[in-house]
Amino acid sequence: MAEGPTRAELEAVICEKIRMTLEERGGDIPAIRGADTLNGALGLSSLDLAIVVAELESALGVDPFSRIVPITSVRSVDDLVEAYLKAYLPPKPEADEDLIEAAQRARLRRARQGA
Amino acid sequence: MDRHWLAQRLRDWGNRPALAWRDASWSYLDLDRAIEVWLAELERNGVGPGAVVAIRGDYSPNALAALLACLMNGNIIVPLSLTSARGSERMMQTAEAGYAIQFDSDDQWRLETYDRPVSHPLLRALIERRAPGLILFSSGSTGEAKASALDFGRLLEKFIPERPAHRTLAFLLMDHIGGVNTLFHVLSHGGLIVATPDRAPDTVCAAIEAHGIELLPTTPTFLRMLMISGAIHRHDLKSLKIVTYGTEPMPPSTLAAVSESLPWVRLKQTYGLSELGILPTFSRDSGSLWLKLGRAGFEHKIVDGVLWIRSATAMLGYLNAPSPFDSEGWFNTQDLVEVDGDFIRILGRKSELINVAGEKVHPAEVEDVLMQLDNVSDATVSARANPVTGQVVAAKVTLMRPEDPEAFKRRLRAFCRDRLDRYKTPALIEIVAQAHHGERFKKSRNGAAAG
Repeated sequence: MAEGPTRAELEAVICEKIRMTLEERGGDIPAIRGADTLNGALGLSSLDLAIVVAELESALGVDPFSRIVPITSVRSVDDLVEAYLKAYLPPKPEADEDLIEAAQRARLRRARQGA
Repeated sequence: MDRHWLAQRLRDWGNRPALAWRDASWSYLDLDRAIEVWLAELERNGVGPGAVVAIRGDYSPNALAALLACLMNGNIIVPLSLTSARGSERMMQTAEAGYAIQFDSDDQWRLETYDRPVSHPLLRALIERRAPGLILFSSGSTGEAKASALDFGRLLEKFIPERPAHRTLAFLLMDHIGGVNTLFHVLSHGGLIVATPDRAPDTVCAAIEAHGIELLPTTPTFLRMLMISGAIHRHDLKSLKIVTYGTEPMPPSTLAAVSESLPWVRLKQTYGLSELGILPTFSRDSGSLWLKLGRAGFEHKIVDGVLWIRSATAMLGYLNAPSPFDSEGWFNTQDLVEVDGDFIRILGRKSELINVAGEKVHPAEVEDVLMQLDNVSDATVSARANPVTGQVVAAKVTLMRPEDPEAFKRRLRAFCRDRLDRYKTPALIEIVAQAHHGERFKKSRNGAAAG
């Protein structure tokens, strides 16, 4: 993957890592679709997801969650694909800050609401 | 100045062999004469009592004689190993060394002088007490190495009561508290120090066979390499009576393998720190990691699972860091321990603990499992940051034979599944070719090049 993988290539890698993690955990392995939620539909625990993210960083050489995308915004397989696509884009400081600030505002809002 | 008690003790051993180096044997008489020559050399060069003298070398005849002469001359000694070239200038500045005696591997030497007045309060205190000093640098994995300043005379007092002597291989370097302890234990009791040109398994085993070595003080990493290399089976090691191990946690699988291969040998775990000295210890048995800490000169307590020690031979303090002792003189070793009556088991450094979503993982536990896997010659486990769980377990593994990486990783994970909780199983596995340890045969977990 020279200048960043295509969406299709990313989807393939991500689905492979999710499938591998589910296999090693044991139990049924559902078909993996883009809209599937990681925790709900696919049943990935925090440890499972941690392993998937660690494997993806090792395989792809990028980590979108350190600065670009808050991990808490990732709910589905498609969200994961979008996050890694962003990791290959040229840096856009304003967009990054918007995302991080948005996450911070959301956290403050939840805290005020007692969530 | 009254001659140090060790001077007469060495003289008393007469023609007994003291040092085997290359093909030569030096007696205690030879050593005594060499010390006198060095005392004259020190005087000729204006190295008076209280001067800070760095000595870089290994266990060669003149390096030993110089070290002993500086002790008897009341100097503050800074031992440096031959391999500590990088950073040694900084160490000498920290130690305020006004002199350096640099030995090479052929025991040739040169004496260098520096314009460095001694001003550090801890060193001034030693000088005012006319006490010989010792400065040891920690092999810390992060930041600048800390310099421990010790009262050398006080440290050596435990060797005054005479005890049996052993033919001993000098494995631990002389800039290490273990190396210093071994050296002076042997010399104080009339034993033989055997130096080797390197610490490779076959070199060490050949020396054990050639010199009838009885005592090998070493590290768990070396013992593991001894097994993996097969050197243990290529040499006659029947003379060995005691193998002591320390400086890092011992994996149970390594201990079991060594115990099985050397059933006639007593295996004993040691425990010590540059800051405190070496504690007397008693292992429950050769195959056990449970040990009892002796009380002669030491006290210990466990607070929140962490071992604290108070020692009569503790350092005066660090030259380049705040004092680590609390107001009552207790030192937090940062070592997590388990307790069983009078025995403790050392689990590893608190700072090396991996935290996976609140679940704690000791690297040594995972390493022990990985090293039982076929085709693994070494494994080092450490924490890797992870956005989901804070950290995950990462393993660097060296293989004995080439194997398809993906197949190996699947095999490793399957192996761990039966032996470890899932959060302890490495989420990241990297196959590496380089050694996991430095020339001291101590594992490096900080991810930097071992050294």
